[in-house]
Amino acid sequence: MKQAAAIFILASLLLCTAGSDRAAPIAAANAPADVRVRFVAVGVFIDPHGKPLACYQVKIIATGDVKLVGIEGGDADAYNQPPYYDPRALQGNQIILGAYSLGGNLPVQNTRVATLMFRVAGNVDPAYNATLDVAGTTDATPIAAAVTLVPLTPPVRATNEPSTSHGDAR
Amino acid sequence: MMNDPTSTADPDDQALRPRLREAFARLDPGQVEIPPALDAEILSRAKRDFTRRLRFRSAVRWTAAAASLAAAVAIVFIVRASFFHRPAPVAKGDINANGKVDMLDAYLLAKHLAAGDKIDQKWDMNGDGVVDQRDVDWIANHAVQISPANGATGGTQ
Repeated sequence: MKQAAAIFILASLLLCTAGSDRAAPIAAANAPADVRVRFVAVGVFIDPHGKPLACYQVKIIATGDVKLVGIEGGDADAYNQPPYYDPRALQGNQIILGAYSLGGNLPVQNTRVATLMFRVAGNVDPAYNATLDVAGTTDATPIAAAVTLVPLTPPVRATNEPSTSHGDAR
Repeated sequence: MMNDPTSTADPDDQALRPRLREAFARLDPGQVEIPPALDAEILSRAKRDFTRRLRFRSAVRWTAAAASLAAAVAIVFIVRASFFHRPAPVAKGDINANGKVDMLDAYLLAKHLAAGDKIDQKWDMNGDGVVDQRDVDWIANHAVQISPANGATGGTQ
């Protein structure tokens, strides 16, 4: 009796395993074949119009099927480390970046202060919008500055789908 | 002892009085006829002057009253402003007290710390009894915080 039960259980397990093996290709076959997934690096540039950029705070919103996956520093010595940000922004589509520098080598011209990495899915290119919350100079007073987002590299494709476009930075 | 105002020690003056009276008597022409037109003109001018003076006094009174009222209103407003108006509370982390907590506040505190300035204990953001780099980080992290309800909101007001 015990042998029969053991054989029955073993046979059931084998059947389940075989069934799941058949199901997987079906699910894969049903997945849309033309979904492009790619990674886009976007540079955050700030132009302090000739005044030393001692601190900044920028709000960035991406629209489309896009997720923020990484944040890095910029070109300027003063801002080559990743800025302050809320970790909850990762895997989302909006973020606030902020940084300050007490160093003497502050940028006075248009400079990349941070780099964002986005994972973009779908055929529609995302749109990125940046708003400058505040920029300050060495006397801790606000200054007029301009923020722009610039795609840095051609997208890195995660699938084999052909792709030639990248994020439409504004 | 009262002095007689008519008496004088000067004999010449005593002699002058009767002669002066006589001279005045000779000068009196009797009943003087004033033309009605002149009379009317005099009365008209007198009325005009009187009315002008009355208006001027009235204007002065009203101006003084208005000035007093304005002064009273101003005093009431000043007293109310100084005694009853409380300044808006400064948000935690708002170092420059501009009503927002943003990266400028973090920079300002970092600058004070780097310069060795006198540090206000109310800038102890994390409540560990020391104002240091961790409080700067607290402000900076607070400034870039994302509100779960509203998405990216930035520095608190």
